[in-house]
Amino acid sequence: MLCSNTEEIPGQQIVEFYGVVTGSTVRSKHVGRDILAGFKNLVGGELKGYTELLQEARKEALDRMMEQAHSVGANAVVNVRFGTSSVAQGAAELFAYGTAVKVE
Amino acid sequence: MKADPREPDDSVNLTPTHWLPEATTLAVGLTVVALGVFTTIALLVNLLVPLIPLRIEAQVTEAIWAEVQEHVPDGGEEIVKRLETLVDQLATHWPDREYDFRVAVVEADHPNAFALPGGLIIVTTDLIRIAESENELAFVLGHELGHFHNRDHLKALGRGILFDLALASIGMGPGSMSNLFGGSGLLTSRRFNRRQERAADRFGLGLMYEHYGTVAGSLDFFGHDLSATGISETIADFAGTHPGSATRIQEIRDFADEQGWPLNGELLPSVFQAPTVSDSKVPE
Amino acid sequence: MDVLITLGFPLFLLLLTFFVGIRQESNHYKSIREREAAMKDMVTINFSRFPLDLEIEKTGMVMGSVVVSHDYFKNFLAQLRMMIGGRIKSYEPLLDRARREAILRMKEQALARGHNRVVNMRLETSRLANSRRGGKRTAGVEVLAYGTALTVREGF
Repeated sequence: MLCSNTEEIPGQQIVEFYGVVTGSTVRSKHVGRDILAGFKNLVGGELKGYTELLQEARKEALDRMMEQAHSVGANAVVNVRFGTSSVAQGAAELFAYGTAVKVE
Repeated sequence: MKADPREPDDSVNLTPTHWLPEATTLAVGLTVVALGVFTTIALLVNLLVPLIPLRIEAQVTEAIWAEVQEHVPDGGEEIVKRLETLVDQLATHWPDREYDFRVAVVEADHPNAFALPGGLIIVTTDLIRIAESENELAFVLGHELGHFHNRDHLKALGRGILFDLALASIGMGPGSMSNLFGGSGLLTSRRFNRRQERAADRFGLGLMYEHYGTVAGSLDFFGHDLSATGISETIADFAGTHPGSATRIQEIRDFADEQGWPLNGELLPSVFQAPTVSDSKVPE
Repeated sequence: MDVLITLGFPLFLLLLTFFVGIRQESNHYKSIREREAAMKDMVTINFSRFPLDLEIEKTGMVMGSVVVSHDYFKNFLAQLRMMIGGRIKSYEPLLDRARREAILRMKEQALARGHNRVVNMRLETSRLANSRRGGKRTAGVEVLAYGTALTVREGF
């Protein structure tokens, strides 16, 4: 499944398009990481735990989006866009959406 | 390019779950963990508190002592002296004590006694009023001495602070009793409090036996407020700070029988009810 | 005794909101699926490239938004789950419903205005916090879907 965040797959032609597909997931880190992050807030710098958390979530959202694209028979998703928002204190929602197309 | 609108599989973004089993598993699992954490904290406190030197406690007493003196009723000095004499008599049977005990009397409408850090015992006027014998008072005072022996007041304080700290570190401030974790903390502290009360009872009984030769009069205190426990005994037992009176009485009886200490015997009259002309002895 | 009351009332509330919430959710999903089937012909893409020689009668920007809140049971479950970390399954239906509802409303607005295509659709999500508890509790989640709607005759 090809993905691109441009309006077409470079070097290929869009033949058909099937509609918008979305993938989303909600994740949180466990309470121990939160406490450590609280300490890290004092000194500053990268919050490794949260970086990992959001990376995993983004990957899962992308996977789900591609699964939806697969279910309509597409072989590529173009114009992929991401969105992040906090759903509750300590939990983040990641969603990805794009247009499922057939390219040749 | 051609448009061919199709409906995608809409279940990819949902995880099929059975909500009720999941909720139960999580709730039970987390409660078990919480109880484990709190019990570990309480055991740690029990281990470390005996290491705290008495000097620090004595400093706290000075501060409280001044405050308490303002609530002593008129004519109370005589009562305080007699109580302190009784305490000293009982304490001679606890030779390695390091405390200097002091007694204060405060006005209140329910019978009670407290042990405060540094060797300070507070007794309410109502307790003195309803005590029918010296032995009865001796049991209450001996019970408080038992708390000092085990340093229970410090343990309760330590538990309170550390429990609140544990809750705060996961984002729930002090006073959050209405959730799983606050509730677990409360249950654990009540369990440990009941153990402490039991140990204090036994210490008090021991002192009484050494001093009087019997433990007669120890149960008279409970005879006064047994009417308060109208609820089923087992629930009050588990959930209350003090074991329900009926259970406590039974435990005292059993312990006395085990040790071979007679529960019946001569009772010395309470000095506070001796009929004398001087009114200042009976507080109003 | 007080332990029973302290435990019993929240437990009752949890079970009540669980059952009511499940029913609400399945009703909403049924409505969403029906409307999605009806809106199937409103072709939507999320980019703006389309054949240049199209006859476009009119265009306009369309949006659809919705704020959805969760029930007490799902919130409780999510808070427990957040202690341990990982995927919070009880929030997934909330966001899925909100997103699909917002997209549907956008399409319905396009249809009501006489359009038949939507291009360059974008999505925005934000969380509304409960102002009483110092902003810690989530009151709801808002999803906004917006795009440019076209009326074309054919060929796209």
